[in-house]
Parts: sequence; structure tokens; C-alpha cells
Amino acid sequence: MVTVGVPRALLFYEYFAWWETFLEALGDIRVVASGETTKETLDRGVLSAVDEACLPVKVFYGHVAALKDKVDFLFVPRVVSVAKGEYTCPKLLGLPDMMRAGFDSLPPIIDSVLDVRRFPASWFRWAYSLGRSLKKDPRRILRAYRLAGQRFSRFRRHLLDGAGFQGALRLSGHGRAHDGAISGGDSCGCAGVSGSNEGVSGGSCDGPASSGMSDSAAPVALVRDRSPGAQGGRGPRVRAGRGEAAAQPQSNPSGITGAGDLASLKVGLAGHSYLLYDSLVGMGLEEEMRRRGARVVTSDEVPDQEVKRGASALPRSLFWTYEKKVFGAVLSFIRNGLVDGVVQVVSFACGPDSMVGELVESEARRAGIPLLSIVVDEHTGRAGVLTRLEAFLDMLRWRKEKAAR
Amino acid sequence: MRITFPHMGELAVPVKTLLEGMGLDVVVPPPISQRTLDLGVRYSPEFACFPLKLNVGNFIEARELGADTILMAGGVGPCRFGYYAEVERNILRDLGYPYDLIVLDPPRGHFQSLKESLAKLAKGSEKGFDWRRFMKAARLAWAKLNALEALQRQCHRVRPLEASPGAATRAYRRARAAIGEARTVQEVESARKRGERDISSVPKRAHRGRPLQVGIVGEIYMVLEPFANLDVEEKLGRLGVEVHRSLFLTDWVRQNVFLDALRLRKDSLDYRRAARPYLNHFVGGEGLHSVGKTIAYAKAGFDGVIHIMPFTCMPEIVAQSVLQRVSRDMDIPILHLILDEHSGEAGLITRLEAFVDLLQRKRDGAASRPGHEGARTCPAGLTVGRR
Repeated sequence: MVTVGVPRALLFYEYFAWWETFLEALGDIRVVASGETTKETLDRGVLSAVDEACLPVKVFYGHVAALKDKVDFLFVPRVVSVAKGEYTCPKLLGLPDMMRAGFDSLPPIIDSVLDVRRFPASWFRWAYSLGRSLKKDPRRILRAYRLAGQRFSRFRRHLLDGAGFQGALRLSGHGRAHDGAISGGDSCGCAGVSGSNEGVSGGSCDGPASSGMSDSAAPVALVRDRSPGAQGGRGPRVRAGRGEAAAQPQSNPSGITGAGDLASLKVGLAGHSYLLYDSLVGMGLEEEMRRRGARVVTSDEVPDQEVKRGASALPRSLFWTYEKKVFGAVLSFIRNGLVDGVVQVVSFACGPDSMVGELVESEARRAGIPLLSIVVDEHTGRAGVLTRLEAFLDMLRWRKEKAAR
Repeated sequence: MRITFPHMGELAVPVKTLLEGMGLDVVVPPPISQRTLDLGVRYSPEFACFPLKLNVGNFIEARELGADTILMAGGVGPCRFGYYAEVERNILRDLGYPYDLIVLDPPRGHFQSLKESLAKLAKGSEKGFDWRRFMKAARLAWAKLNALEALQRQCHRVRPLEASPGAATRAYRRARAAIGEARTVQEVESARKRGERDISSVPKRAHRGRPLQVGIVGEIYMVLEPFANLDVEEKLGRLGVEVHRSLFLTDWVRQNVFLDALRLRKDSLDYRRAARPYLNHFVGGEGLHSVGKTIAYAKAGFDGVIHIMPFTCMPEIVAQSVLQRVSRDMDIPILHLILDEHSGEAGLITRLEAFVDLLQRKRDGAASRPGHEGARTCPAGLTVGRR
């Protein structure tokens, strides 16, 4: 039994569900994720990284520092591209090399290259070569691949339903011990995996198993596009269903009181998953907004189809996948008028965001939807951000009351 | 159609020749000045990288001279440069400048859009497009670029030796004007020869030993554009340093246009091989190049390397992270210059002086230690990356 460490930063928040299930289903592997980001994690990261690196990369350094002496392998795949014709960020392309340069003693890094820029089927090729490099038998790899795909599509579905990152990770099979198809490793910490072979809601299993190794092998493509209306009542949180939004303008003129308006304040929260879901960097903004009486829709709850339609408002198809996702979601918030305002969290000195953020802001101005950009770095103070957030919510409320009158 | 394009080092000379040869009406933006920068900074996104801001300044100033079409290069990522044209289009539209943007995408993968752009260019030509004229213009432009860069290389060698600082640069500027005017390849050649004579005949001062050898790596725009890098080559020359620049437009065109168009794999390029132990993958922009060239310089016994990048440049941040380890492993001092509109000249000079002092001491220390040949033996260094 070897332990593979996965730093809880950057693409962890996108693909951990897949990685964990896949690695553990290969057998004899225990996946260990680093703990939640704390001030110490960040401080260690800041020490190891160059000053110019962005906050999420510094956080990543911190998590690697926390893991490196406790695991046999570090899992830092070189994620070059996860969608045809697109790239991730240059810093993700160089991540394994940056880690090697940043630390004196590291366990061996698993840095297999995931690049589906030309061929979507490379997802499987990547997984296969990863499995082979760990000296696993092809049939096992295939099975692990199938299980990981199923777990991942469940994860994405829960995310879409508003379960939040932690919730989606848990609901998608993490820690569930009801079936014994494969219970890889002991179930301590993050290690327990139970890959159930049946899809969550019967018949909706659209993992790669049903379509072989075709392009649906890309985890992104696993998520079924569903019309927003169909999801209206699902999930633990109120979704931004289209029907609901259509009802709002009608109910406003019919004399809703201020208190009623307060309750119905709906705010979009957009940002990279590694910013929103990080315990330190994300500052629990979602929870804070809800505590202040707003209903929150995150960019992860916008269906792919809507994201794509939103992103098509940009003048040239974006070649950064995650920016496309985040800003496509913001543009869909703006365009559909589903929200009263949008809060977008960006990292200081984030290259792609510096270009697209501006375009999106001008789009929001044109549409008359208030947009709050929160730029975070290692000097960001939570109190200051919360004050701004409160002011923003107050403003949205007054705006809404005024419109109702 | 009155066409313009952004400045980048000496790019304007060959591009003007090429476009005029195609029968186009060309407006060269005024040389980059503080005004260009101020205009660009005022209208560009705050955290966009520095070259974009200068581009925007160029376009605004060219508009004042009557340009109505922009020729701009495109890209497919992951560097931000690939999205420049779109952001610039947006900024100029918001400013109320009805510019038409022609974007030249790299041939690979975007062949269709490249063809359309070229067709658009051909349509703008007054006399119609003619292959023979175009090839002639292309040859002339290529000759001019080669001549200019040969003279620049010569300046790098002469500057540390000159008796009155700035003489070589003045001679270069005269030669550049003559080369710019030249109408045939023969005229270019004779202007180049005259320039070479001029530059080599600037008065030299008595000097001891071999000047310090410093390699320059980094992001292409910042390395090539003297306004953006605060004339770092000239400043180093005055401090008695012989500069070796790792990026020349001629090399870049050879590697990125010719090889790419022929679909040859670029893996065999020397800098890729050199970088492999430290950075084993393309990271966009010049990130991999910066790492590979630095390692080549270290192996060739250079005294130090200066790494120039715009603030927040993603590929160069990867390079910078990796270079910290290279610097330690290979014992080569690296100065990272991270520049943008806030960079001050005085601060830069102080840092350069300190860096040069450090290099001199390191070399003196190495020379005085017996059995250590140190950095004095670097004849190989002169040929790295040079034709």
C-alpha cells in the first residue's frame, strides 16, 4: 500500500472526485489529501514561491510543503488542456517543475501530462498511461476509469444542484460505505472510496461506460446539459430556476414589502473553484452572504449549456477553459437577469482574469447589473472584504426597494 | 485603407517595407514615448500586461495620424498575447475609434482565418496583390531585419569599450535610418557595411581584461523594445558589460513562422533540450526559452543573466520560479527585472550597478582562487545562439 498525496489547492477543487476514485480503484493506493488551507499553509507557501506568483499558486506551494514528508508520491499532474482547442493557465502547465524547483526534498512527483487539446480521447490515454506508470494491470485501469467517471458525473451533478464542493464530494460517494463493489483502502480521513456501479438516479448514468472511449470520456462532457427549469426544485438549496425569475418581475409591482424583497435578494457568486471553496482564500463568502439574507447561486451551479451560451457573448472564443467557465457563468447571470447582483472573486495578478474581467465588467455595466469584484491576495483582510460585501448587499436591497416602489 | 501596426523594437522597419511592397498605405505609429504610455495606461485594463498598454497607446497615436486599419498578430494561448487583439478591439471601440482589425493567426490550426486575413490585406492594396512584388518586398524586409540585428549585435560588443558613452548608439541610429530608406537589397547591404564601419570605429578607451558577459532572456516584447526595458542594453554597456541578447526577431521568425508553417517539430531546438532537466514542457510565451537560454548561458560560462518580464506575465513567472533553482544549481547570478508603467529609471540603474558589482566581485574572487578558471574562459559563450 503506497500513499499518494494530493495537495488541496488549484485543480483539486475541480477533479479530486475523479482522481481519488481512480487512484484508489487501481488498488494498493491510499489517497491522502492535505488539510484545509490555514494561515500556516499560506505562510509556508509564500516563503517557497516567488513573489510574483498568484495567491492560489502560493497556496499550492503551502499544501505541497505540508504533504511532502508524509506521502510516498505527490500527485501533481501537468494539466495542459482539458477541452479541445483550449488551454489551462500557463502556471498549471509548469506546476510540477515549479514544485521541483521550489523544494529541496520532494517525494517522486506523478506528473503525467493531460493534454486533450487535439484529441478528446486523450483523457483515457492519460488515465491509461497514468495507471501503467504505476504498474497496474490494464483491466484494473479500465475499471478504475469507469468508476472514476461515474463518481465524477455524480459529483458534477450534485455541484450543479447546489450541494457546494464539500457536499458534492460527500454525496458523490466519498465516505459512503453501503456497497462493496470496491472499498479501496481503509476508510480513514479522505481515503474511503466506494464506487457504486449504479448511477445515482437510475438511468441517468452517462459515464464513459455507456459510450466506450469516445469523446464523452472527458469528464467535462460527462455532465448532462439540462435545462435550468428542470432543476428548479432539486437540491438542498434554491436553484436559480428560470420559472422563478420570470415570476419575480411580476410579483414586484404587486406591492411586495421591503421585508419580502430582502428575502428574495439573489446574488450570483462567481470565481475559480480554488478561490471560492478554499477555506482561507474563499473567506466563506457564500455562507456570509446567506447569513446576511441573500440567496446565493455560484458559478458552479450554472449548467454547461448556459455557460457556453454566456461565453459566446465574448468576442473571441476564450482559450482558457476555467475562465470560460467562470465568466460564461457571470455573463449568463447578467444576460438572464436571474440575479440582483454579481460578486466575482478574482486573484490579484491573475493573467486571464485581467483580460476577461474587464470585458465582463463592461458587459454588466451595459446590462445595469451591479457587479462587485473582490480581488484577493495574501494581504487581503477578511473584515475589510465583509464590510464591502455588506455595503454591496445593502445597495442591492435599496436598489430593489426603489425599483419596487 | 491606411494600415498601422504596433511597435516592438525594430519591427517597424521590416513591416513597413513589407506592407508598402504589397501596395498598402502604411501609417507607422510615432516612436513610443511617455505620451504613448500614458494614453495606453489610461485606457487599458489595470492588470493587463505591459505590452498591451503600449500597443493601445500606439494605436491611439496612429489614429491621430489617420490610420483606420490595424494589423495585429493573434494566438491560440495559453499566453495572454493571443487575446490582445480582442481586448484592443474592445478598448478602441469604446473610445469611439472605428478601427478595422486584421488579425494574423498562427498558420497551424487557424489556417482559414489566416487566409481570410491575408485576403483582406490584399484587398486593401491599391495596385492589387501581386506575388512577385510581394516576394520582392519580403526579401527586402528580411534583408533589412538581418542588417539591423547584425548591427545591434555589434553594438553589444562595442558599447562596453567606447570612450564616450553613446557613440555606438548614435552610429547605429544613423545606420538604421539609411537601412530604413533603402529600396533594394544592395542598398541595404551597403548601408549595413557603412554602419559596421561607423560602429567599429568609435573611439575606445583603455580597458583591462575582458568585459563582463551578461545574457539577456525574457519575454520577447520586453527584451526587444528599448522603451519598455528602459534601454537596459545601453545602460549595461555604459557599465562596461558585454550584453548577449537571447532573442532576435530573425531567430524568432525562423523558429516560429518557418518551422511552424512547415509543421516541423520544435522539440529539437537547442533551448528546449537545455531546459529539459528543469522545465520539460511548453508554458506559453517565452517561458521555456528563458529557462533554456539561461542554462545555455550558464554552461557557456557567462558571468550573469538578466531576466526581463512584464509584471504579472504568466509564462515568465513559471520561468522565474524555475530559474531560482537553476541559479543555485549552476551558480549563475540572475537578476529578474519585472517592469511595467511604474518602473523608474533611477531605481533600475541602482539595481544594475549593484548586480554588475556583484558579477565583478564574483569573477575577481574566482580568478584569485587557484585552480579555478572561473568565468574568464568563455570563448564558447560568444557563440551561444549566434549564427
